[in-house]
Amino acid sequence: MASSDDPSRREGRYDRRELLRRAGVGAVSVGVAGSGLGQAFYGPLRFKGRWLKGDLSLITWAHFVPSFDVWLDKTWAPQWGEQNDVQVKVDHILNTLLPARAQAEVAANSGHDIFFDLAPRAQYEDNVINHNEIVQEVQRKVGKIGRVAHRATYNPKTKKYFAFSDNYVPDPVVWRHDIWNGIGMSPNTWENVRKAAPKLKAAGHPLGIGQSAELDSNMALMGFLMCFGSFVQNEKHQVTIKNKRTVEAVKFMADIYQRGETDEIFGWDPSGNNNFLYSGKGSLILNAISATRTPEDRGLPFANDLWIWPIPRGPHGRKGYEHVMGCWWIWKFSANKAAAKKFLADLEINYRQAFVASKFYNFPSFPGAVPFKQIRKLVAQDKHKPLGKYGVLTTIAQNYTTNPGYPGYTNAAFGEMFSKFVIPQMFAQVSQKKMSAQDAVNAADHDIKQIYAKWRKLGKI
Amino acid sequence: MEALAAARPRSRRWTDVFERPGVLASVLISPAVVFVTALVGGPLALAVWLSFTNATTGLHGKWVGLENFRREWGNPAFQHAVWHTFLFTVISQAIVLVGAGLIAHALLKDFPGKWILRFLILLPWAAPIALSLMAWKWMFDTSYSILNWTLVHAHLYKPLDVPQYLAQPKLAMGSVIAVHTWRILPFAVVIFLAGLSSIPKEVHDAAAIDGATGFRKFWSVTLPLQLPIATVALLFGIVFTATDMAVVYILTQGGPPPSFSTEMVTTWAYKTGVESGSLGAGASISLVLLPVLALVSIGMLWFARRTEVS
Repeated sequence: MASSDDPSRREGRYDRRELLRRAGVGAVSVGVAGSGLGQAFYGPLRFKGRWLKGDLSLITWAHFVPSFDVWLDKTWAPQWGEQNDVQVKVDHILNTLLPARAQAEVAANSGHDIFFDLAPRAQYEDNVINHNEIVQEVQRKVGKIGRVAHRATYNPKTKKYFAFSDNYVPDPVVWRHDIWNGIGMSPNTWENVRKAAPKLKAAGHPLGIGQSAELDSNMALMGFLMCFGSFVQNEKHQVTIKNKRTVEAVKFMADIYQRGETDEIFGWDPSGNNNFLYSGKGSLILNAISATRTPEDRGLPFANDLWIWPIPRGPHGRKGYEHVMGCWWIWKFSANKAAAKKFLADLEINYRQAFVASKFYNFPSFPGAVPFKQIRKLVAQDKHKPLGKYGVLTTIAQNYTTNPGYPGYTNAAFGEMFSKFVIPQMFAQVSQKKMSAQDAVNAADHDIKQIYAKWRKLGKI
Repeated sequence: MEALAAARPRSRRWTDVFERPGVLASVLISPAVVFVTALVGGPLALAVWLSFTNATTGLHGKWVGLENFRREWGNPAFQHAVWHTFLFTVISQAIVLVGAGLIAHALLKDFPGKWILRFLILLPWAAPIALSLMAWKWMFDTSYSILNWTLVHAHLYKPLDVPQYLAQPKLAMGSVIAVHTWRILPFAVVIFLAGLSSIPKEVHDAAAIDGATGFRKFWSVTLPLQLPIATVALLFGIVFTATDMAVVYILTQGGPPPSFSTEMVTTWAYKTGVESGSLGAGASISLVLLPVLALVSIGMLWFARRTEVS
């Protein structure tokens, strides 16, 4: 057996003493260098000579208006981080993946400090902090929270803000002026829409009011119901869908489908009605202004003929939901709650930048953050034709936009009903002549009542 | 050196321990057991627990016994989802079985371009599922379908009367079945090919001497010998199909109405448990498939064993 004293074996190897000596020298060197360059030794960056107060991670959607994400990631988050000595990390995922991601973070009890979704998620009430403190802080700076945001994020039963809304998106009707002009009509009322439907379809430009299992169909049809005086729930959060007005509305929409739409309205995902419009085929959809911004950006030939108006008037006036309700929440497990609260409060207090970056898509949930007077001035500067077309958004926001669940508050039961697409299902059953209007309404009423009973039992409504 | 010599018997004793088949087998299998327990057994136990609770979000809830199962059992949406899952599985697997059999037989023969054809047939299995499904989604798109563009430009349909592959109930079910079949077919072809290749040449020769050719040879010789492996391919196909969510969710999200014509047990469980915040109910829905698939698996494995030709 070769001995360790054998010189041929020692070459390039250290004995124990030599190894310890070299390791000691190395450790001292790293320590000295580290103490001189704090960042190298301790890791995180620092701003303005102060140590970091921690990291802050947030997850949000990939915005329909990409310039908003550029502003958030490259301007707002780094600047805010520098001012507050916090390293901010922003992740973006597809909006349809957010619910699964939220569930996963709750189950793992770890994840991002701040979570964003496009709708109020009251079901997470027990997993999030009370956001009242942030609301109060913003109210001190810019004034009262808007009615829509308050009713979408507050649980009157538990007296808790289960989310903090920074924005909502007005939901107009987007229509092709050139095509409607060709038949001498406009979508001012639902009766006009019904009358125009066969003429538009005959001209090769059907209507595009979705009846699919997706967000935009939900929003359009529930807005339509409200124009007919029908609501899913009342102020006391009792189910009120089963009434004559709902039956009348469902029959009316079935008539619109049979006269002026094609089967494609049953097979859409949230981008379906947008693509329908962009293809040049569609004459009308109900959607946010991302539906007009994309044709403008792409230079589509009919971009200047896309007009936006408030939802058509029905027998009971005009009423619609916001198209998107931007809701942030801070998990109970968040490691940096103080920074998270300040981040959200500062974002809203300075919302003018966000509003401009979103190209007027994100309306502030606190009206005082960007007053309507200012919004009108900003919107008037938009150069896209017809000039001033975005001015109507303020009218829609002020007069015709309500929270999901109006006239009650948004709650977990309404959320589940929404996620299971009970309302599009009810409409489609009648449009496709699979059920009578009364039977479809009865079936929806049965389903919704079951959902409400479950959440009532859980003490959330 | 003396110490080394003294240590030898001890190390031998250790080796002897591993020489025992029972010990060695246990040691070798233990990583797999730990892996399966941690990644399959753990979540399964959790799902079973959740299904008996009223958990909404997170992993805690109050015990509610069979209430979740009872409520879903009477829910028409769940009943539709079960029926659609049955149709989706049976029809797609019937097509896969026949298709894979035919393709495997064709690929067994020598012809120019055989390897390119094999590669092309295997491609759907190798391609990332999300990418290929997006391609299919655009092909079936309501506004931009290349299929419909062709139909319109061939003057077979008017622009507003084209088939709506993802918007008409029967077409939507047909579309998800077609795409799933396209995706799973290569796997079955590979298994069938392996099965066919394993039949000894002598058997074919003996059959030829006995005068068995064509369908007669297939029925009496090839099919019985191929049955065990075909059963295994079918079993995999059934499990993959019944538990698949990607195809349906990306193409139709369970739609179109009425009765959400392509809603499956998996998508309904996802909508209930994850999107609607009713984790307990969602878990109970997802567990419905477990006993059914377990019974199917046991039955098919028993059948495969019985049909084995030694």
